[in-house]
Amino acid sequence: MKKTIGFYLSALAAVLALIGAVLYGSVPQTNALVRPLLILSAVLSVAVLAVSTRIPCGNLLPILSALLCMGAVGLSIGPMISTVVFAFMGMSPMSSAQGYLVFACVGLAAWLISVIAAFPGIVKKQA
Amino acid sequence: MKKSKVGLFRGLSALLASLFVLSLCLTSVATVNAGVINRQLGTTSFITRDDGDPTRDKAYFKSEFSSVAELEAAKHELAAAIGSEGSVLLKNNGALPLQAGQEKVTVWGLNSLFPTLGGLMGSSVMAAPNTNQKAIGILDALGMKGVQLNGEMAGFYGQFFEKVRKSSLFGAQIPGHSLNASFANMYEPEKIYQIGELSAADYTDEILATADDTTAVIFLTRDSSEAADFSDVMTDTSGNTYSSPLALSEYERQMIALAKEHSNGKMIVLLNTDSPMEVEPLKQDPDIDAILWTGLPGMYGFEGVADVLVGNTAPSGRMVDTYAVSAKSAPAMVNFDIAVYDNCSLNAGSPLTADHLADWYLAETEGIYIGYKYYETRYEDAVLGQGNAVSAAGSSTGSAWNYADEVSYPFGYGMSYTTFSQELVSVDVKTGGTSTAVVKVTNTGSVAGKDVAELYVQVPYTQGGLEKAAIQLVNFGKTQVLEPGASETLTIEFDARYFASYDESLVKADGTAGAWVLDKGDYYFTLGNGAHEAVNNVLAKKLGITAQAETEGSENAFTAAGLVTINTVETINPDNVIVVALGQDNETYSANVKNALQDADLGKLIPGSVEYTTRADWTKGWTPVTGITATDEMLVGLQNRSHQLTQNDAYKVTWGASNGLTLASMMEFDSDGKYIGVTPMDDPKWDTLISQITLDEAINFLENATDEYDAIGSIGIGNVYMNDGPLGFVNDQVSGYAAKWDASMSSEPTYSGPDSEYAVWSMAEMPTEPVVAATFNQELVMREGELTGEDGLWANISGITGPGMNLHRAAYCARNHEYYSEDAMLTNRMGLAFSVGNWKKGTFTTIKHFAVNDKENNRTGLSTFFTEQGARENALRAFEGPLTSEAGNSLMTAYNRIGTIFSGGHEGLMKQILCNEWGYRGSVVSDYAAAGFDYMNWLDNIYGGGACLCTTGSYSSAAIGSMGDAKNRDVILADGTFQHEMQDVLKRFMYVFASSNAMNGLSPDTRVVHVSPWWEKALLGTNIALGVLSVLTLLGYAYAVLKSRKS
Repeated sequence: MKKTIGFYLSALAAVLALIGAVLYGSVPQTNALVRPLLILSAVLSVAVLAVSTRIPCGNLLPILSALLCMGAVGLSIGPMISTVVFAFMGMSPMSSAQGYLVFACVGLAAWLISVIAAFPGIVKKQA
Repeated sequence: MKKSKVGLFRGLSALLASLFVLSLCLTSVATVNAGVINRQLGTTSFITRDDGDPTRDKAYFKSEFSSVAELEAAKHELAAAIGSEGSVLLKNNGALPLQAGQEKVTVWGLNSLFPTLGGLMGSSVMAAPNTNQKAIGILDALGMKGVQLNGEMAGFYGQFFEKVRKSSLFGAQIPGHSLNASFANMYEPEKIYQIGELSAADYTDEILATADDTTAVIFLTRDSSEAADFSDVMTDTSGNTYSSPLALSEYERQMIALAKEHSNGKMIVLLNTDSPMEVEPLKQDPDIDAILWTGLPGMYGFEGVADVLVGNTAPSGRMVDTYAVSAKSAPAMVNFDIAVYDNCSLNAGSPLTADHLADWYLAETEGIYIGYKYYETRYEDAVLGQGNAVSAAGSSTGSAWNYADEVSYPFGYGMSYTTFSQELVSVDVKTGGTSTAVVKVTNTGSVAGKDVAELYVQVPYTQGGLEKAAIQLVNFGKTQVLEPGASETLTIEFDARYFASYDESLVKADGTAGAWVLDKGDYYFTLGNGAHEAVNNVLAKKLGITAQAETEGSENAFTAAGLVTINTVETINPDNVIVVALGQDNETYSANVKNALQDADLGKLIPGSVEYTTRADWTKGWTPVTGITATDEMLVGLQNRSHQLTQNDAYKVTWGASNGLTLASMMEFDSDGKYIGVTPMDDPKWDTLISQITLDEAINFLENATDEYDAIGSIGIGNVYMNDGPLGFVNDQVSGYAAKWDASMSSEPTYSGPDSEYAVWSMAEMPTEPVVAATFNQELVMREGELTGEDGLWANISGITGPGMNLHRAAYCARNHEYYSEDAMLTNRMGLAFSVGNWKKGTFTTIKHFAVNDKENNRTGLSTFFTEQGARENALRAFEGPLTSEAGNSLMTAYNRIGTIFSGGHEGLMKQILCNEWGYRGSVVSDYAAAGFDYMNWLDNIYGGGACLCTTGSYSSAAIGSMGDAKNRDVILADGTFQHEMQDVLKRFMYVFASSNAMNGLSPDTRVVHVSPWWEKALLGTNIALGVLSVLTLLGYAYAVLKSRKS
């Protein structure tokens, strides 16, 4: 089985998920599940990519990765919604929401790349 | 199937399934914030249904108006009247009134185009766009009164819109403001403040020539805002300069100089500000003929100001604050700068984290000496030669302290176009009862007008003993319009409790420390056009100088004794003093009283850390309090856990019982079916009703109040709306009369539907509180309360968040516009009058912010330290009037901490003083708690007496978690005492609701039905669609894989 572009995109998504998990540490109001989901996504990706040519269902990875990344981003919204709204209304400085917005962008990028990776899959001649 | 289909289905599965996850998350966020979304979209999640007698009259609170149009006309008229009576004439060399129609007027100042009408946020004053509503500025108002204006100058200013000061709020640029509201905490003060004036270089010769031979009206302004303060480091980036944001700026001085050159020599200054500007240069300038303070007069108040300017009305307002030569000369300003604990979260290894919101503190070292109580007390001691009063410490000149160098216009001062004589006829003091003073007022001038009788007292003071102010306002009265030569006799009632002193060290017979004392000695009652005149009367009396001696000695007797007058109309009249001798009384006002705020006294928490202002030695109290390290004792509160849940069955609490009652069952009717009131709160029927509420309903109600108290279906009460004030229901949060109605209520007599002309009209139209207070007219303020209550009836709103009852403790607090005065008794009386008027109409008055919310920057979590005597005689005394009356039955706590414990969680404040001493049994809600405000947590709040939380479910993300989380729910169910507190809070709220206009339209047969607003349906539809599509694509993917393998 040959690696596809999706393989490399999934690797990139894993790195972004890991960066997202690190960035989430600077977000003032957090949900306890967000970091574990991102780390799980990254770890799962690394594990699957490492053995992708030898296992039968490696191409499911981008779907799982996309779900985990989006779950993390989705769960992060609730705690920060007031802060972000206040910042955009001008009632708080944008710096109060800046860390979160950077995290959200990274998380969404990881998700989007995973979705894109899902189309070609990570290896050829597989499901 | 081809391989590309496998990839396509796999990709679509990833996309749609993750969008489905996102949709579920957003639905969860929306559900938690349903109240906010409903408020913004004008939707509701609950409606009421009534299967009872359709002919039953369910309008228990009725309007005196037949339409919103009539109500709006009455509000407009009242707002103008307050603007007129609240204008204070400070100086007049005969330039006022203007001769309308005979003299042409040039209004100077770019800010005259966009005067400041109110504050920002809760007190925003903005006419609703795309309606007939119009805010009246100074130019409009003068035009309306027939003043011939220099239109070229106004047109000239119109070219400089880009230089007009503007603030950013809710994404919009608001002209007329330059303070920026910020919810975020900060370690450095705000550095920019734009005055918004033009430099002399901006004026052309042509435009200046148009002002020649016209009367100059110079418009000076400073704005106000919630969540903002002034600071010493502020600068104007336009090139303008100033020594203080409240001092005259360079461009304003240049403008005044130009006006002197280009006018007919007649110069009038208008002060459009609620912050005490430094106006001594204007007062001393012989070319400035008149100064009129207008404050921030709301949407229509300038109409009343113009009435004063043209002489339709003689001014009768009085200053609500001391106008000091230097705004920074008061001891309350010593610690106004941002201060942080040495062991704050910025330091490595600190026990505090950013999440605690606990880094900042404010030390109120002035004790009881706020505003005039400082200036006039130090003045008396200077005259009497005691307490090092004339030392240079605290002097704004740097040399020996001299009253004339410190004060421009004293508290309570104001002039008229006519003159009055006032005679204090009698004073009858009844401790424990209602005391009275009789005052005869005579118009001795040639113009009709109203006059204010201000009753002051000096209580006996022993040098070095309990701190006492040299003069205190007791109460006041205002005459009707008196024609020249006419007299009116006013009877002013007062309560001796309000001039008792709080002695923290006195141990009573029951062994507890702390008591209200009336010391044995002479009590000097007097009248005065301001506190300074009053203290001069008392001093002259004490020094034995008679009015006759003054006349015969051609003013030398007073001046020889060191008495100082600083304004031309001031008099000294020792004959207007009545001395009442009282015996020692430590008991009358001390029932249930004991020290409750000792943990807010920094000097007691960390001995030696604070030096307080004291009459015994005025050289003390001028050193900023720095280098404070929070002790272990202080860290308990700072780390946000002052209470713990315990497993106990002290109370057997029932939730969700089926007793068949509704809240309307608690209403009582006479034999004719007429509503006569509510079942008394101590009736066991209330407990039966409250036990019907389910735990989930209770948690939702207590934790998610926001501006909308959610419906409680189990007792038949729908959403109850309370909106922010205090100038009326602010348009930012309730966009017009129609916003809170839904079509199911269209049969109610005050229903205002979306087709109404006033559907989106802004209801926040009244002048700001300092202007209201400056009227010194309690009848007028009660009427303001009534009309706000009328708004409640016509807008389906049952409570207003206001009035603000904090004091103008420091000149740099930019939220002073939401509070009445620096004086506790003026605030006390005005707040009571408003509450009574509002309550008459069935709207509950949520008085705010309890207590000592004295600084806006870093207000969230700010540790506020003070002496218990100072707080009780000033900050708390202000609240005491309404909160000890039936009308004051709703209260909002403050963002700050009392000492180190959140105000709503401080049992000394909330339970001992508020409930045990004042007998308060009304509702309590927190200020708006955003996500991360863990220090305002539900546990400390409910156990501490702070009751309901104004949040949007912020605790789901806080360290403590939501009350509804499984872990918390189980522990709550094990704590009988806590559950009992929860039910007590619910009972108090329901009692207030049952007594309010929220019951209009309800009957014992009313049921509350949950409905899904359109956005909820849209989210549900999206979830279903994405869920179905996700499943289909996943099935498609699986099918494609199988097909692919087979082929």
